[in-house]
This record gives sequence, C-alpha cells and structure tokens, in this order.
Amino acid sequence: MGRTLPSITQAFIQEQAAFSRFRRALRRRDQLALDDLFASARQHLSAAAYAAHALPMETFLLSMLLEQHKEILRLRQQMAELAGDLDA
Amino acid sequence: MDALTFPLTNRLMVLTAPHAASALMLELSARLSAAGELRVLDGGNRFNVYPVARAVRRYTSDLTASLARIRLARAFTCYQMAALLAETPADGLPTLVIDLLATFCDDNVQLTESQRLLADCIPHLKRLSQFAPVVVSAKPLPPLCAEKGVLADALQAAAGGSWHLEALPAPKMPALWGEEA
Repeated sequence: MGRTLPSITQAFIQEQAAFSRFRRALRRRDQLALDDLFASARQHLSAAAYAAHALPMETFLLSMLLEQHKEILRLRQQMAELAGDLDA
Repeated sequence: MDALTFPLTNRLMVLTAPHAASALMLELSARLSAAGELRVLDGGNRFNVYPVARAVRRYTSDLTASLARIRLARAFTCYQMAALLAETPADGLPTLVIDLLATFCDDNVQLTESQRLLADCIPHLKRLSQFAPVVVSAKPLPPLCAEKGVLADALQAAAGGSWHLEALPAPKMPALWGEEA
C-alpha cells in the first residue's frame, strides 16, 4: 500500500517543474531571482505540509512573500540604524 | 475527448487508455463535484487531489465545498474492489471507477478467481448505472499479466459505451533553420 497523496516535497518539485518553461524563457539574472524565490519557499516546506492546503502552490507563494517581507523588514531596520548613525 | 465534452448519460461507460485515463478522470471528477455530489472508487491509487483541486478552482471559487462533495474510496485488492462495489448503494450519484482492473492483476490471484470477482463486479456497475452515469477507466494490461486480457474484454463487453484513447505523440518543435538532419 503506497502513499495516497504526494508528499509536500514532491508537490513542491512538481510545481517548480511546471514553471520550467517559464524559467527557460527568462533572462539569466531573472532565472537566478526565480531560483531564489523557490529556494525561499523550500525553507517553509514543513509548515506547508502542516497547513495541508488543497492548493499547495498558494502556500508556496505565501512562503515566498514571507521571506520577501522578512528581507524588507531587515533592510528597513538597517536603514533606520544608518539614519540614526547619520543623525548622531 | 476531454472532461468538458465527455458524454455523461445513465449507462456504464468504459475508458481504456494509458495510465487509466487518470488525468481525464480527475478532470471529470472536478467537473462533477462543481455541480453536485459524486462517488470515486479508486482501484489503482491514482486519485491525486492536488490536480483535482486545481481543476475545481477553474469551475468554482468554493473549493472546500466542491472537494467535500467527492466521496472517495480506495481499493487495494480485487476483493476490496468487489466488496466496495457490492456495498455501494444505487442512490443516483455519478460514480467514477479509476483503474478498475489494476487490482485484478495481482499475481497471487488466479485467473479464474479474478474472472469470478469481475463477474461479481459487473452487475453492480450495471445496477449503479441505471440511476446515474458510471464511468470506469482501465489501462491496457501489461505483458506480465497478459493472460488476464480476458478481463478487459469482459468489461468492454458489458459496457454501454466504450472508448479507447491513445496518448498523443509529443509535439515536435519546428526547426528554426529549415529541415533538420
């Protein structure tokens, strides 16, 4: 008796493979950016598995957004620190 | 043929195709679930809910309700399949049976036993098809269980409609610079 549902990692690989033609049509630097996005979603696979959403791609997209937002918060904090240094 | 144009009438329809027409059956279950309840009996462990969810989203925005309308049961042996069909009430729900013959290819089940079980299953399929469409999919039997080809013949003989689908050849990319060697 095998699995009745693909694991979240299998689902992730299938979703990534579904965008292979899109990736191939991108410029090299955009391909690297896209790879970064998928790599950021991969960090949250365990949470995506726990979410057990019927459309896992939505969870992967939210994971990408999450990492983007963390990066924005980090940069915002750096900006604030730099502005503080300049004011001092 | 696709799920949108597939003729659904109250009869036993048999689809024979590579991979037991899984993609078509999943699309068909999405189409039916958008309209009402349906029953899916899976004999080959081929019901992957992710493609179904994606397909349902094309028909309706209420994904959860649509998925909840699919009553799914899996059989992992031909005995389980026969029991599932025997216990299924003829309540007017459309029934999709995916990869019916997969469990009948078991090496541990003699041909005569498989034939007996399939002969038990067919009247139940016909009983269900009196009140709602019943679509059964099967794949061409592999050479290892070629002697059980009579099962596919028996299933097709019992069907009110039978289709044999073939995989389309992979699309060929046209050459940029004339004919390629």
